[in-house]
Amino acid sequence: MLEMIDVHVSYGNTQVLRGVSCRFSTGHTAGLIGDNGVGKTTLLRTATTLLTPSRGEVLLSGKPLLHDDLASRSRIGALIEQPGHYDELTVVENLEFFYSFHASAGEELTRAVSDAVERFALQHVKAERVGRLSTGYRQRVAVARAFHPNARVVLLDEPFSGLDPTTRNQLKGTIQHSASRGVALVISSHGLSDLEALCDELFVMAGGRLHHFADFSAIRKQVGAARETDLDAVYTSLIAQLAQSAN
Amino acid sequence: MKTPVMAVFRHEIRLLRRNPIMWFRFAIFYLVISAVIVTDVVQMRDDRLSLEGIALMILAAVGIATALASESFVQEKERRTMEALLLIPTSAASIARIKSIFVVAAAMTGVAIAFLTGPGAVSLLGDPDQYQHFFNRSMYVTAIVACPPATINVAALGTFISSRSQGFQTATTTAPLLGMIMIIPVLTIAYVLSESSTVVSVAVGTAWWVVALGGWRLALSTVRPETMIKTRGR
Repeated sequence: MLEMIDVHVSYGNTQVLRGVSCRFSTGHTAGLIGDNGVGKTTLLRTATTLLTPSRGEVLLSGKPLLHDDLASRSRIGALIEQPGHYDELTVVENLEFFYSFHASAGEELTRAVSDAVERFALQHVKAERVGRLSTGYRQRVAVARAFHPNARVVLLDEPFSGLDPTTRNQLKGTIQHSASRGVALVISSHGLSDLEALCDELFVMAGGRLHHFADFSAIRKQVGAARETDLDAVYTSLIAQLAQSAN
Repeated sequence: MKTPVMAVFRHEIRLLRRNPIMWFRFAIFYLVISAVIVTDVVQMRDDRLSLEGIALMILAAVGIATALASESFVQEKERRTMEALLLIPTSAASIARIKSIFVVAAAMTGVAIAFLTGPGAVSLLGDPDQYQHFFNRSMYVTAIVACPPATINVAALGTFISSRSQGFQTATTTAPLLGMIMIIPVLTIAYVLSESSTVVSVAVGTAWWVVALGGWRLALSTVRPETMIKTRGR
């Protein structure tokens, strides 16, 4: 379980996270939504120790999570922003490199890689160089990288970005299946219908603060929208309401 | 926790093997160095020969190390693998250290190949004395005492700059500039070593190694993830 308590993060004089508190539990999938530039990626970077909060703390299973605590960090898998790959290496070589820090060399590593290749439907392209793959396959490799053998908390930033509906649905199924293996999963996305289908709870980021909702029904209730109201319209009303209450 | 040293090292070798631009550069470098060495050995310009060899060896080692080191992290940023790399369970400083060790190993291997095969061929095809004249005491002292620490320092400096640069241009202009500045004291040290007695050579050589390793540790211990990732986007 990953917990953030009163986390503040600034870039120079700009305060991006203003006392963010949240809890991502094992076996649950949390959705993270918010406008562009509101601090979602910063939150994920802070949760992975790539950024250090100026105030507050990040806890993993009740223990402070620090960049130097390698054992705890090995339990986190993440895909942040548009992920890059080692294009000159094959799918298997890319996964082997990242998995080699989480599985012993030899049989264990080979098994972990072939399991991921199968789970993320990469069998047909496993010997291809990643640079020659389509966007959909590249995205699958990136998500597979985040679900490494030790991952107990997985953070995915825009995993469906740039994917066609078919690939998106396939990837959604794979993520759902992988999440059912006892990880705490956090998905940051602008695809509200994707989040509605995947998530057990929602966090909305606005004005540097995080607001928790059980699901989209709770958001609809908050803004007084009807059940059939379009998700984008519900979201827009919520953001306007949160901005108003902040002022 | 799995040790990252071998995994990162193997990975770097794999990337280097699949990098045609780097191979092209190495081939050009090898041809130029070999041609200069062979010309020197064949012409055998006595005392000047060894001094030219020393300068060439230092220039070659520092040159390759600077080129590889300045690109080490910039390439990760360009292909957007930097964050994935920083997410592996090891410290950013450790990754920088492993990358710089790889740079030193690659630079010294490149220099060794160029210096052994060129004069070696001349020696086999011509007069073996010429080979011995080229590889005199000064050359060995440079190869063991002066050159590796210089490469270590340049690799650390280049990796440090690369870790903070946001683009190729900054890294590939700043690092070589600093590398070139480094060559002047290194040449002086190499000259002092080649002209001194064994005792002085050992003392200066030891001091030079200590300074180089200290500089390497200092430069790379300050590498932090916050300085390595773009934080403009939120």
